[in-house]
Amino acid sequence: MPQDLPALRQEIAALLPRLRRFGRTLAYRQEDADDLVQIAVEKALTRTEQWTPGTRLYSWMFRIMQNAWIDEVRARERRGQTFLPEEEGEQVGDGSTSGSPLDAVLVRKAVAQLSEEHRTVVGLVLVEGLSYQEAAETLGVPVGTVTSRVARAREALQNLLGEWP
Amino acid sequence: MNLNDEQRQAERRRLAAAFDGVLVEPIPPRLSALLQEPVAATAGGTAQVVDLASARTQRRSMNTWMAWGGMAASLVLGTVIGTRLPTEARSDGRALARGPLAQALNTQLASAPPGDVAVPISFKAKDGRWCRSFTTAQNAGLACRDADGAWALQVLAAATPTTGGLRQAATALPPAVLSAVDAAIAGEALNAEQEKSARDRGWR
Repeated sequence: MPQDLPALRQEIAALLPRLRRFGRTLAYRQEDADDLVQIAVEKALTRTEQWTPGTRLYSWMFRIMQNAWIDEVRARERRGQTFLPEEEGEQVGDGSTSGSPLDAVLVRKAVAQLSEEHRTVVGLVLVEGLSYQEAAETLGVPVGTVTSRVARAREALQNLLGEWP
Repeated sequence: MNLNDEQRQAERRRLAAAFDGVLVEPIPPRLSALLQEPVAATAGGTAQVVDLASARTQRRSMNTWMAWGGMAASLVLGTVIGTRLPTEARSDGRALARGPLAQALNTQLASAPPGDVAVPISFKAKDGRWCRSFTTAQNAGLACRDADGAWALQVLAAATPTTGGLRQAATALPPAVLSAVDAAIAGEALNAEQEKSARDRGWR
């Protein structure tokens, strides 16, 4: 059944800032993140019949982005490319610069070093503010899985960044 | 791992500082264009799905420093007063000016010396709201004052490049903002006297 495409386009357009933010938690580099948003929007527009009006649009869009991202990560692994920041492995700091622009870079680098699963739940739950239930529905996994991934992701982040001050 | 409330707030603050800057960056035209144009504009009506590698080769390469420049500037602006970012994306769909940007919209006059924010054109909109255009070092936009006193962003675009440096607001309004002004304005833009009087009455 055809959807109200103009309205859906408008709603997706209004979500672009959040999609870009989620993109940056998945992909460290800004251009990768925006490419990912572009791919997700294009995919969404070609399969609007899969969108159920009245359900959460951001959840649907995040799922498309996350799937596209996994595809891309696998493709890159096959090509032997990497997504990690160039200075991979350097000390990311002790948290003493919390809140500063420098700290923002450190936090992004730390998130970039997490596993794909951990980075995804950091993006959905800790940055985008989805409930565990919403994140579980977005990812198609049980709530308990999200809960434990968030806990382990937090632990990994703290190991990289030091205790939250 | 169990965190106490304070640790949770610190975590949220740090992650917000790391990732929220993108919320106030101008949307790249290639993304907004995907959603603005009617389907008929694309031959055959289907969007072309590209992979990251080919999408990248279609653009001129951008070094990392340039790429993060916009975000860095947002953060600089946001950290002038506290750690708040200048805008907030709200669940009701409004993007509101915050912090130094909101303060400039409330109090600063067009005649103010160049600083982090400039407020070149103010006017009464057709819908009765007061609207003010603004520029920062990286962004330019139009904000209109809603009934609840918040400045809602109507349009946000990349600022016309300026030689003033990272911290100084751009001097010219980009075409996207000028068109938004043209579309919204009722009559003429405020002159200095009218602007000061509207400001002194709190834009009510």
